[in-house]
Parts: sequence; C-alpha cells; structure tokens
Amino acid sequence: MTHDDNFDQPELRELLEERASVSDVEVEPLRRYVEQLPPRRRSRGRWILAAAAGIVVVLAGLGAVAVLTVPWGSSGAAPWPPNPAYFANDPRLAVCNATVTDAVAIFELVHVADYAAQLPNAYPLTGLQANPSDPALVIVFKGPGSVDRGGETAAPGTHDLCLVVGADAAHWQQIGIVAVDTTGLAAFKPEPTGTPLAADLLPWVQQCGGVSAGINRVLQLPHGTDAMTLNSVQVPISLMTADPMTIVVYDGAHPFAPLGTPPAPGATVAPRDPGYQDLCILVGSDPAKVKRTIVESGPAGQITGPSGEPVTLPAPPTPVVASTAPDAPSGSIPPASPSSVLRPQISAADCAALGFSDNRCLAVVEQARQTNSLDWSQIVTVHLAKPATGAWLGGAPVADVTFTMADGTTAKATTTCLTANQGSDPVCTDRPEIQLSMPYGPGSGYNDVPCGSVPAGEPGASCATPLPTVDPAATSVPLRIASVDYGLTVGSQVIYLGQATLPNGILSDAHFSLADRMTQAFGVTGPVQLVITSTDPSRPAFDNAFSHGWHPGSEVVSVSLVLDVTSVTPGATLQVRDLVVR
Amino acid sequence: MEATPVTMTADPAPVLEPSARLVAAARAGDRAAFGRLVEPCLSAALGASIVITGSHADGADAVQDALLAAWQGLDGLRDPAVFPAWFRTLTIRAALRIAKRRGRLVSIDLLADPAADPGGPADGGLDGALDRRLLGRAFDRLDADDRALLTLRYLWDLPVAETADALGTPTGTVKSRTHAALGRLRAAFDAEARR
Repeated sequence: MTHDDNFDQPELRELLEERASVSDVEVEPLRRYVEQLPPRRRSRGRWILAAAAGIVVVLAGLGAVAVLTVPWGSSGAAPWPPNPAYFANDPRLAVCNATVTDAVAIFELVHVADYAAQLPNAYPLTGLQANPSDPALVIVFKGPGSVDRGGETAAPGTHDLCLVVGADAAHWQQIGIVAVDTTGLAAFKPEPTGTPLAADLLPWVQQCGGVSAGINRVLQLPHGTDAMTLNSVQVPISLMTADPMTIVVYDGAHPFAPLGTPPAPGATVAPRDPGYQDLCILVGSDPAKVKRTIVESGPAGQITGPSGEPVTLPAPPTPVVASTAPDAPSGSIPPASPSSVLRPQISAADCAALGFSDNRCLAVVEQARQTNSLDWSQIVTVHLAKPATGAWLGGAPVADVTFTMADGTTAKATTTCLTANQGSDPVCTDRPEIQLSMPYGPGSGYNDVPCGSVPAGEPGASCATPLPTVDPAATSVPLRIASVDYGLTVGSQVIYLGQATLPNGILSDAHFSLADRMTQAFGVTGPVQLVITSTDPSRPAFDNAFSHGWHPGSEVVSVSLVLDVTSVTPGATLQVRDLVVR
Repeated sequence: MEATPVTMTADPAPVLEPSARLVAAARAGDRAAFGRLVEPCLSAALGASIVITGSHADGADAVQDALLAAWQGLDGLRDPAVFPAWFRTLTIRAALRIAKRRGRLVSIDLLADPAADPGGPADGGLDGALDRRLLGRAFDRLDADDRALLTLRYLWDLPVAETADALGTPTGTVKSRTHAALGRLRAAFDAEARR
C-alpha cells in the first residue's frame, strides 16, 4: 500500500464488516423495542404561540430541541405536543424513580445550561456539578415528585421537577427540585388560535425572501447541531455547527423557487408534496449577517441546495463546438444510437427481458461492477436477472448482476435504487431527467430582498443594510453563451465555460439550460451544477450578496459546470444553452 | 442507486411484502407491520451504528432512536418504496448524534500495554501488511463525522450521491470529505504505528 492508496483497500472494508457484524441475539432487543413502541402520534395541524412567542420546547423523537416555533399557514407537521410516552423506555426515568404516568411533561435539554431559557420563571440552577454543555432529561411531575416535600402541597403553577444530567449513564446526576414555577414553560401553552408572525422573526424571514403566506413555521435553534434531532426537516449536516440556526419551513416552494431560475412570466409554482418542504436555513446570530442556504426538497425530496463550499477548478478544457449566436445549431454530431452504450459483454437479451433501456442497463451493470471493483478487461460476460432478494437497507433492488471473469470465476451483485430522486437516477428509470443546480442569481437566494416592508422603528425593521448600488464606472463583462456543446467522457468533469467580470463583485444574474434534459445520449448522477468562483482566492464565495459584499472596482470570476458522467454514447455532447453570468 | 455486493447480503433475505401496504398499516398504528417493514434493515443498521458510535450499547440506542423517529415520522414518508433509504438516513443521523454526545472514541486497545502488542508493519511504514489492530485504533481516533462517512462509503458501499443523500451534504462535499477522512485515517495509522 502506498500513501496515495490511502485506505480504499480491503483492509478497511474488512475492519468495518468485522465491527458491524452482529448476531441475531443482538438484534432481538430491537425487535422487542418495536413491539413496545408508544402509540403513534398523528400529524397535527398548525399550532401557534402567542404573538410574543417565547422559547419553547418541541420534542422530536427521543431528542428535544429548544426552538422558537411560529407556524404560519397550514398543515404543519411539527412533533407536538410533547408526549411523556416518548420516554417510556428511557432508563433515566428510573433515576428519578418516575414513570411516564407521573409526568405532565418530559423533555430533553440539549444542554443543561438551557434550563433557565426553558423555565424562565424557575429558580436558576446553582451548584451544578455537571458540565453546562451536558444534556439533561427534565421530568415535570403531576404531583409530588421523587423529592421529599415534607407534606407540603404544590402551589398553583408550580410542579416538582427531576433532572437527569449527563450523557453517560455511569455519570448521570440526578437533581430534584420542588415547587418550580413552570408558568413560563411553553410546553404548557394552550393550542393556539392563530396570530401573525412574531415581529421579532421578521428580520430573519426577510433574509429568506420576505414574509410569505407559504411559511409553515419558523424554528430557531440555539445551535445548528440541534437540527440533528429534527425529524420533520432535513438540514444538511454541513450546516450543523455550534452557531445559532434559524429555519424557515415553507408549506410549498420557497420564495425563490424554482431554485436558481427566474420564474417565467405568469408561471405558478406548484406546492411540494406533503411531507417534503422547502427550507431556508440561516446560520448566525445576527439576521443581518447570516449565511443563508436554500434547501429545495423537490418533488422527490432531494436536497439540491447550494453547497457553500468552494470548488477547485482544474485547467479549462477546450470546447468542441461553440457558438454565441442564438439558436445556433449544436454542431454536426449526429445523435448516437442508444444501443451503442452497451458493452459487448452485457447480454442485450437480459436487458430486454428486464424491460430496461440500454442506458439504464449499463448504469445498473456499471454500479455493480464498480462495487465489486472489477476491471472491464477481465469481464467475459455479464448477465442480469430480476432481483432475487427482497429488501435491503440500501433500497429497492433493481437487478441481480452476474459477472463471469476471464479466470472462470463469477462475481455477483444486486443493484438497488435507493435514491429518493428516482426521476433522475439512471439506475431507476429509463428516462432520467437531468437536474440543474444554479445556486446563484435572481431567484436563487443569492440576492436579498430589499428592506422596507417594515416601517423604521418597528420591530423587524433592522434588516440587512442594502448594498451600495453598482458603480456605473466599474467594468462589467458578462459571460453570455447562447449555445455551446462539449464532448463528454465518463467520470467527474469540470467544464470551464469562461470568465465574467462583475462590477463591484455583485452577481446580478446566473442561469443556464440544456437542450435536452432527458437525453439518452449520456447519463449523469446528481445535478449539473453551475459554479462561479472568484479568481481572487481571498474573496468570499458567492453564497449571498451580503456575505460576498460590495467590492471596489470589479471582480473577475470563473464560470464552470460540474457534473458526474456515468455513460456516454459515441459523440455525445453536453448541449449548454442560454447561459448568462453577469 | 446502489450496487450491493453479495458478501453483504449474508443475512437471510426475507420475503418482501409490498412496502406500500406495510407503510400504510404502520401509519395506522400496526406495530407488527412496522416490524416487518424494518426487519430487513435492523442488522445492517445496528452494525453501522456500532461502527459509528463505537459501542454496542450506543449503537443499539441509535437504532432505537431511528426506529422511534421512523415510527413517529411515517406520515412524512412520501414514497413507501424508499423506506429503507429513509430509515438508513435516520439511523445514521441518530448514530451521529449519539456519537457526538459521547465525543471521540477511546479505544480499549489504546489503554493496553503497547509492549504487549508486537504487531504492526515490520518496517514501521505502510507498504507492509496492514495491521488490523492498528487500523482499528486509527479508526477509533476519527471523529464521528468521518466514521459515519467511511461507514457509508466502505461498509455499505454507497455511491457518492447516495452518501450525500444520507448525510444531507452536497455530492462534492462527500468526495472531498472522503478524501480528507482517508487522509486522517492514514495519519492516525501512522501515529499508531509509531507508538
């Protein structure tokens, strides 16, 4: 093994398989756990706090996150109200000598230091021996708790509490507190009847495109890592940091939708399917200085939001055909026969029997081959059959693939389609639609909505300071490509399109399209991404106009497309159309 | 998409019931249906969780978290056919959450007397036979994110796109993070080899 090999070797796989090896005896407790699951809570409609919404606790599965949540609109699916039954099997109950029937509320604090925030009218915890960042389970007793109260009865509005602090069972610390004023505990708030969006949320919502009737709720997390416990929203792990996080959850499409493309005149945006909602995620403590990410759930629930990470571009390749004329022909390359993608080793009859197109068949075989690290030069025949296995953690099986090697041995694999984005996965469908990702430009979330919707002096008026207008004297050289075709090869590719000069570093438009997003001339995994990077490495990424800032003079940027190509027919090209970066 | 090597399907493959029917029954509160829905996933989920959290107890906790989350969150599952992938994501995130609470792993092996372990590459380098024990120690030194990423990529053999789906990260991030994680594993291995 050399340094370059790293550990992409059998040893690492063997180690992981060894460690992951479990017996049926070890799995049995999980089966029993399933049998003892608490009753399912059903999705509820909206619930809304009072206008002066305070911090509340929303339980999400076993975890709990301190959030401020203000639903807006309809069909919220927030896990509410907290149900002590969620903790029926939690061993920490025994530490407090409690059962779920003893409690009116049980919830977790991500950090015990959040105690005061959750119970604003309670006495502060003093003399705590635990680490303030330790998690804690809080049990709010209906009646007298596990602490001897000397026969004293609880005053109205007070409850006995028991806290179990610590992450490690060996070091759990039990704290009993009597007669705690729980009036500030939002878990006790009644079902709301509907109020306007809390005024203090407006600056945040404005960062997400302004107040919209499509906002379902707003979550404010003390730490981005708390999003780990949310079941109802999918927050990219890359955003989960210690910084505060605000999540605007939309009933349907986010205000910038469709992502990266300005809506056509008169177009309407269809609502997302139930259970899949667009998000606007703001990371930071100051609404004027947040990092914003739009997560577009899409019709199949795939996250297609901007990465927020810079992309290192290799040397630009030379395009095979280029034209700046509108509607220019895309070259003289005839469309290739889809059948040409099949390698001779692959049984075309098997593909036909499965009803797969040649492209899909190749994608199925290719994934199986890569998984088994087989070299095409050593493969004699490839046969496909309907999958024999039932289910697999990875997803629904598509086909069983058998390779016969030159040395007479065989290798088998079951290819499965597990992606939620089945419409764009060549393994899953005969005609995958290529997804486009344009994380910059109007309608993408890069540009902010101007302030002014809230009168000066009113809460929420402190939105981001508008950037200076573009200096007319600053050099501006847009990149416009009406039609350009690029030759493709299998593998990850970065196609350099050219450079643009942005006046004052302000990106005002960035979009492109493909001539045929359902082409079968080639296959890709994941979206075709439009990537814009400054040629000055000291300049920030083009995540957000405010974070990128106004730049004196001009800024030269490189424009590229990034894609992973899985199959190519001879002569196939990526036919880029109507690209504008300015 | 995923290609599954046969070596990873050692668990008995159950007869697949139409997932839509099971999901519908589970949504109605049928625990038995939910049990049949998750049964094919349990072994792999537990195994991966153990790898990520570093302990059987924490791994089981993570799967329990995922089971509860799946049970309570079934209404949010749009397409029953993707339940396994959805459950996988819940499992990985639960394992990550627990692992991060626990902090970095401390391998039991690390507490042992190094002199009692004469193993390791004879040349102290990397070109000899890879010492499984050293590799295990090196793996334990990785943080939870790295362990989860490598588990998805090299235990479950998920393609980059599916790994990105499970971790909620962009595809490009998975590639760069995989490279970085392998680099850290290499560095940790080097450090262990020098002990």
